[in-house]
Amino acid sequence: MHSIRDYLTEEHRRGDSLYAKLEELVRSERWKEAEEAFKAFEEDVLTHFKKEEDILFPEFERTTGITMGPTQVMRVEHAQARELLERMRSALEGRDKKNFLAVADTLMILLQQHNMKEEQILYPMCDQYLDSLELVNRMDSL
Amino acid sequence: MSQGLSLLQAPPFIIVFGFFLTACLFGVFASFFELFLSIKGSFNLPPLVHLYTLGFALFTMFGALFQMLPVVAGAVIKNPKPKAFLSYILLLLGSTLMFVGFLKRDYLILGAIFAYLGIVYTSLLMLWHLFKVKAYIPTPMGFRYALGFLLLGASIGLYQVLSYFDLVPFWERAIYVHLTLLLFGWIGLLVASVSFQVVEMFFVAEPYNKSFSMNFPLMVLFGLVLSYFGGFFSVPLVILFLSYSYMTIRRLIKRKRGMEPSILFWYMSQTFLIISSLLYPFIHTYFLPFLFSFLVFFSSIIMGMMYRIIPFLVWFHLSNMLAKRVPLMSEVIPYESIRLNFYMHLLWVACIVLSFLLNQKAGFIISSVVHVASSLFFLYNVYTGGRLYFELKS
Repeated sequence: MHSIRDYLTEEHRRGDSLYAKLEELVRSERWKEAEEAFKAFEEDVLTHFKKEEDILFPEFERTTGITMGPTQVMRVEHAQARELLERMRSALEGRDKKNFLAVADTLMILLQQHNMKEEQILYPMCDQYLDSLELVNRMDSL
Repeated sequence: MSQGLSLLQAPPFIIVFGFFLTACLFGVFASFFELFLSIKGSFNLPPLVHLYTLGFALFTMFGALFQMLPVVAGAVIKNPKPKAFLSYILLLLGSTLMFVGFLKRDYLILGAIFAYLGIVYTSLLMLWHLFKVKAYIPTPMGFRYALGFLLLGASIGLYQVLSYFDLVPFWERAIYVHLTLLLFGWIGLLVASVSFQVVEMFFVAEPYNKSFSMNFPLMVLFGLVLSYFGGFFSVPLVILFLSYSYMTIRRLIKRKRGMEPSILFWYMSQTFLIISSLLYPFIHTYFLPFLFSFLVFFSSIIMGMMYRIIPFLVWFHLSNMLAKRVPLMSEVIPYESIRLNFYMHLLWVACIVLSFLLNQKAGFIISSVVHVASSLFFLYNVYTGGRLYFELKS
């Protein structure tokens, strides 16, 4: 049985692998494949955000009554990540390798410190206060 | 429940930047002192070593911990500015007076007391917050042990200073225990604990074996206790750090992410941790090579990490305050500058090793000049990176 922490941490690591593949393709200037890899990475990240924003965070806020706490910070960081993803897309379309890698590096560090906070603070709290099995099932069906 | 609210309370940029910039200034000062000693032809080790360990390493590590505690451990220090300021002032006075005291003796006790107070205050402050939260990952666990070893090692250091003035009985093993606790128990364990988290995440590498990383602090404690008896008994501690380095290098080589310049510092750091660990059982014969290797280990990792932390924090804080212009990490400190600094750092190490092997006074002078240049360049990069934040913020 998955805990919320295990389930979403696994998603973080999968996103990291997709990112690494994308970065490698851009470095070697295999642009067509890179476009496909970017789509896969972007979809993975955005779906993960959607699971959190549409299912996990509202449930957490409803149960704990905390609406301006960690979930709010996570939403702000999601917005920052979305903006960087847009900039990555533009750089990719313009075949601008240097700019792409510069934006991607910033996104990667943003995501990693974001993931650390979720894995160490938010998800354990969710597992403690919410029905993990039910929520994992709901997120998985999204 | 209050733990979660902590995410809103990342420490202000000035705290981390203040500690880091001061560390860099101590690094520059230490390299100039190194040059002075090379020209003079005699090595006065205590002031030089403490410039690096107290001035450079401790300031960096406390600055990094102020930043990492809420992010990695969920441990938030509320109203951190005055607390960080008190810690900063005590450590600054302590480090400076101790340096003067090692040269002139007059201020040594005063300096040691200030440094000790700074260490006790900051460590207890951090431990208090760390013990309030549960550790789900190895990193916060490592922080607790490392801070504990820091307290113990610093206490022995203070005892040693007091014994120089015949205020307490002389303890022959004090220096050995002091340096083992602070180098392996504090610096080594702290670096390893951070690696357990960041190597996997930042380089997209294989995770460390969970039972190894979770039990690492306890194994270090065991290794430190045994190492008190010296010689053969220090082998477990050596094996532990060799295993950590081997695992780290293996993960870095097999990482999925491409090359970015901070990785070079990681490789260098781990290589010199291996060398210093191998020399440790023979510390009485190879005292200088051991200390030098350990210095390269922690100075390299500190440079590598600072070159990631400062640009990210500049971007992160400006982005959060919706500044008009938010530079990307590579625009805060260009990769080319980081790479150039790595080669300068490497050149310094190569020159020192050659000078040592050839026993050439001129070689040590040249090495020190290279080190001064490298330290100044490092200071310049960190300063200009941080300055950008204050310019764009306003």
